[in-house]
Amino acid sequence: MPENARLQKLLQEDERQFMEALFKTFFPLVCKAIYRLVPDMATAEDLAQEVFIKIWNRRDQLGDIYFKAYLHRAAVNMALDHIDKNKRRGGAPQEISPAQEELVATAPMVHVKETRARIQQAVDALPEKCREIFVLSRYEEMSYKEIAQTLQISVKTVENQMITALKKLRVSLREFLE
Amino acid sequence: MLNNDHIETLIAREIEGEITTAERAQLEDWLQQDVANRQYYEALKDTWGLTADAYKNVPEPDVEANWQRFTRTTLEGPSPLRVAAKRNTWWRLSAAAVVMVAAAGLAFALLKGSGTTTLVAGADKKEVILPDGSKVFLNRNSQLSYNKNFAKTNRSVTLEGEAFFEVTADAGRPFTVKAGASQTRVLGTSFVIKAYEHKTVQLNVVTGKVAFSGKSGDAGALVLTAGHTAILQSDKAPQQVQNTDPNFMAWKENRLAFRKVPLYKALTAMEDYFNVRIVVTDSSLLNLDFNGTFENPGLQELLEVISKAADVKVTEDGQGVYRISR
Repeated sequence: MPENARLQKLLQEDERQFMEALFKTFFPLVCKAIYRLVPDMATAEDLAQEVFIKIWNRRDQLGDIYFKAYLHRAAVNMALDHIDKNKRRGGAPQEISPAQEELVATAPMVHVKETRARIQQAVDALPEKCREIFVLSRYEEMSYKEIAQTLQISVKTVENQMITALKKLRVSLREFLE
Repeated sequence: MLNNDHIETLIAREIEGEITTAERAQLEDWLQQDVANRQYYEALKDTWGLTADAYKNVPEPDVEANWQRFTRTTLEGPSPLRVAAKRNTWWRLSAAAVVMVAAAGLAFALLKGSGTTTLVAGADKKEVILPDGSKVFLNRNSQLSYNKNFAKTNRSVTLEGEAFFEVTADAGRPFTVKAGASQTRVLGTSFVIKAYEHKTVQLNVVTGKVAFSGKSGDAGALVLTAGHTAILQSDKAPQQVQNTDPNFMAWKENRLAFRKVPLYKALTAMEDYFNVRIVVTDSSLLNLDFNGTFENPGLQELLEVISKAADVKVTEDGQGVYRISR
């Protein structure tokens, strides 16, 4: 039976078992999607827990949904909410610190794993709004229109920020682009 | 390169895959105009391509541990008198090991006059099982005492230093820890108390629920649940605080975990854990990000990691003092 149908069936039959199957299938997906927007694993895990708590509380109203897409979207929204709340509270800014930018540009390259880590660092170091938009487009595979709706901005702004992100990344990752 | 803004919009649309045929033709025209245009376009496309793998190394979350947490907090709901969870790894010992530990506990139990038993951990950490079945893990330079009526008429102990408690549930006889000016009354399960002489007493609740009070007794007691922390300064009322130290159980779990913390915080945790002093001579090093999880960490191993990651020299001055410099 396809995964989604199996989960739907479990939801009807035994909600505990449904929850366990759903959690164990999708926790990594949810957690990683959050992590890309909030790059701190402990926080990402906390927020991922909250996504599943919300699902559990709404289990009676889930209806005929496609769980994977639904959870992915819930994860993105949870992460964006978290970023917003932090901003209002004046929490730690996620802006680039010059030191971080420098680190990306000058540290010597060792191997693939490190290269990836450094590319991630460069993405993490983008200015906050710019990074959000880039991550949603690049990794969450959302269209500019969906991003615009989610963040309540214009498609034009999304396009501009995408180019800004690419220009900045082109500079911070220049050593890999020769 | 003319009309750059418009061209950039077209490039953005092409990357998204939502470019129209007419727009595509415009972009193509522009690319033909100048070799510099094409280079610029290709650099942006290459950057897009390069970023595909950025998050391929994202650490895998521990799904089982998270499922346990979810079950505990959401499916079962908080229940104050649940018997201590078996998920604390250091208690996953075989029965034989537990017996051995209990025997070791006895070996260093000293009988003081008037029937008081004192358990002492000196240079090494100790694990003990109390007469009521509760388990205590004592950090270095710490001691725990209780009188002969323990587990008969009362369950109260006195702590100097730091200990992790996993208390057997017994609603009829609350378990009480006196440490410094503080009293912690246990309504169920596991927690850490740090109460070295002349220092602020700190309590971290790991599972369950406890009541924490100062000299004024139950009147000013704070009830704390899992994940919460409180401190007590000698004659003040207890105060709930944010636990900012993710390594508060490092000494017990034999694990140091750093998630993107500034180096100075990592070094402070290492000083505590290894009972050494680490001096940094170049303050520009203090705020470097440090990442990593170390099971059963060794001091030399960690210093080597730091020396490689930050490209610094580590020298030992003797007497447990280490110096980090460029």
